Amino acid sequence: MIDYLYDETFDGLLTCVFAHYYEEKAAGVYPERLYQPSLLHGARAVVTQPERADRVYEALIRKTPRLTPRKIYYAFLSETPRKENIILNYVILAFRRGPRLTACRSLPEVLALETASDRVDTELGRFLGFVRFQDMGRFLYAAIAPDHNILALLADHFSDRLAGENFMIHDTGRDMALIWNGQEAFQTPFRRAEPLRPGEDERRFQTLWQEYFEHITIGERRNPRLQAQFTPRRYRSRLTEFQRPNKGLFGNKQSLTEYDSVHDDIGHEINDG
Amino acid sequence: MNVLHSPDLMEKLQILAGAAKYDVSCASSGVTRRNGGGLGNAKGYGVCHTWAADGRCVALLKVLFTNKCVNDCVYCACRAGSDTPRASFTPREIADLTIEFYRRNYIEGLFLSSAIEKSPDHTMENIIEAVRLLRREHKFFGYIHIKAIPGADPALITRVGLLADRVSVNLELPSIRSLSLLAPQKQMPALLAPVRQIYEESAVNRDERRRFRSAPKFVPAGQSTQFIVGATPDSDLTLLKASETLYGRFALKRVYFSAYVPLHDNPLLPALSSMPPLKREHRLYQADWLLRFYGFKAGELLDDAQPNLDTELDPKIIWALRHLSFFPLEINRAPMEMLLRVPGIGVVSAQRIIRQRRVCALKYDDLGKIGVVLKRAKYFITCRGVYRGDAPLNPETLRGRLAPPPVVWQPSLFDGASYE
Repeated sequence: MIDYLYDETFDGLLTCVFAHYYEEKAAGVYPERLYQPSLLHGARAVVTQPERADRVYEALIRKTPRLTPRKIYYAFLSETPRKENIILNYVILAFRRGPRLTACRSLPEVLALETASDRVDTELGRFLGFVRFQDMGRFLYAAIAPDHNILALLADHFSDRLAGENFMIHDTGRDMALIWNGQEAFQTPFRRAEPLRPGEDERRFQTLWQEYFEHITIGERRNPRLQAQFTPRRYRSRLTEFQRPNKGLFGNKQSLTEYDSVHDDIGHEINDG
Repeated sequence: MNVLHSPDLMEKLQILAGAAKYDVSCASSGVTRRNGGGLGNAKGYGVCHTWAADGRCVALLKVLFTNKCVNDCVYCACRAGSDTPRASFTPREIADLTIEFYRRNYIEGLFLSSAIEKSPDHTMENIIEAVRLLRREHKFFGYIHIKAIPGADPALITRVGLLADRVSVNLELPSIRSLSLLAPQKQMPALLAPVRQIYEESAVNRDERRRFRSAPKFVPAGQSTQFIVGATPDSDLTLLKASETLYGRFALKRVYFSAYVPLHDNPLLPALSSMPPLKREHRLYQADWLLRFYGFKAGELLDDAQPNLDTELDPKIIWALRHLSFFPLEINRAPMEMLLRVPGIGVVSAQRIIRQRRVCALKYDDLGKIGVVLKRAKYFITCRGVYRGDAPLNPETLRGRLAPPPVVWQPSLFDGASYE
């Protein structure tokens, strides 16, 4: 048994899985950058080999249920602690059980992995709506700060939707950007100290949107707690409609005394997407 | 883009968004379409973009074309007799504003409704022009939901149906009696005419598309409608029966319920001071879900002796309490349609149960991991013969266990309330 250390790429992780089967059994897989030596096992840094990773991935496609490879990739993009071991355990089980795997959500290996991949799926769904572009003249720019590393998953959706535009989606937490130049989408490290300054036209559309957002609310149904379930506060600093200037000391926060407890668990059904 | 620089655009948007907000529908689902060489696409599952301070989702730019109305429906904010500020968009303003919002990913598309200015045909033609600009000039492939104007020429409805994804008519009131009382200019047959037309033309269109793949789609996302709740004495049974008929007879995708918000004083309406019946609206939606996804019939949930839903407990629990002889159900043997009747088991957890028990029998502890809400389900199930409900199976005891705890009134430090 040995601890494998990898370079934090998906291919690197799959290369470790390959080593588990063809070299020495893995006790665990860890990011090389953060590894603290273990007393129980030796450790070895694995050099990423894309052809080995491909063999593992293709075997997963051949031998496991249709959605399993995607679930594994999504779990890899999550920020779940020790996700590498969750994936390793799941892959081992997936190869052993084959097509009957997904039926067993209550197995600890499956539950752990599906919880991680579900989180990424949920956040991806949210961000199809939560990306806010600003027109910078020559391109559209959006800053996002998602919990999980979903940037790559946004590419297909937005490059189809905004095919005729140029855009950049900037993950400010991870210093990465997704760029679409009208022909191809790619990811690149990107960092910017100062926020971009939109022009007057852009600010006008932002104000129109903020006014719209304000006026579409039915005052008699005010329910900030329900609103916060769907638009958690941590996302709001990047959402144009929550950036209204001159809204008093507390901005958009409503104090809880305004809130009528009758509304507590109700109203979800209206939001059917 | 020039029309968007007009100085009164902001005010128009405020007035016409404010007038459209009582339309509940926000769905952007039902159509999957890729970008065909312009701007936009559509996702079958729908995308919500934000949530307003009332907790309702915002997926579409929802505005009225105009709020100048010839009708005088008593419940409506735009009725002719009201002294509310009036405004109208131009078709180009609507189209251009939709595009600018859409590019910034504020919205999934457009929801366009209208009051009736001059005549139904005149209004409908303006709406069609806005949608035509979007589809033809801007090559917009995003979602469009149009409210058909009852009384408009059927040919106009056909035209808009070929441009929009969803076309709908708000019936607003579920009985002819209520309608004649509150909306004397509207007639039920006239309201239902476009509903029937859309249903029939959709069927013809489906047939055409089977033979010619290139035939244009007609209302591909189907139609929906909305009822006002609490403005009239109509019972929940009347509302649910009406919904059931619409789903069955006209294949509606959704019936929305809108808790009535009192807007002005009228002896025919609830008092201005009354709160919108949100709890009742909530229960109606729960019952609506039971009709559409759980195989219930309106007649099973309510009858003439009990025409209104219980506000304290959800309709599924109420049904279970009235039919305790079906329970407890053995999780490892019960068929899908019975699993769906257990309070605390939803469609997803029922599917997971079926899938997992094919491999091996479920243990009690698996149920929570699968997503079953044991707090409610435990009284109605056994798992490998084990029963863990801690109360006898009779309606009175179970009602006590399942009802929410009474709300304790807590004096506030800040309101200066007194114990009168």
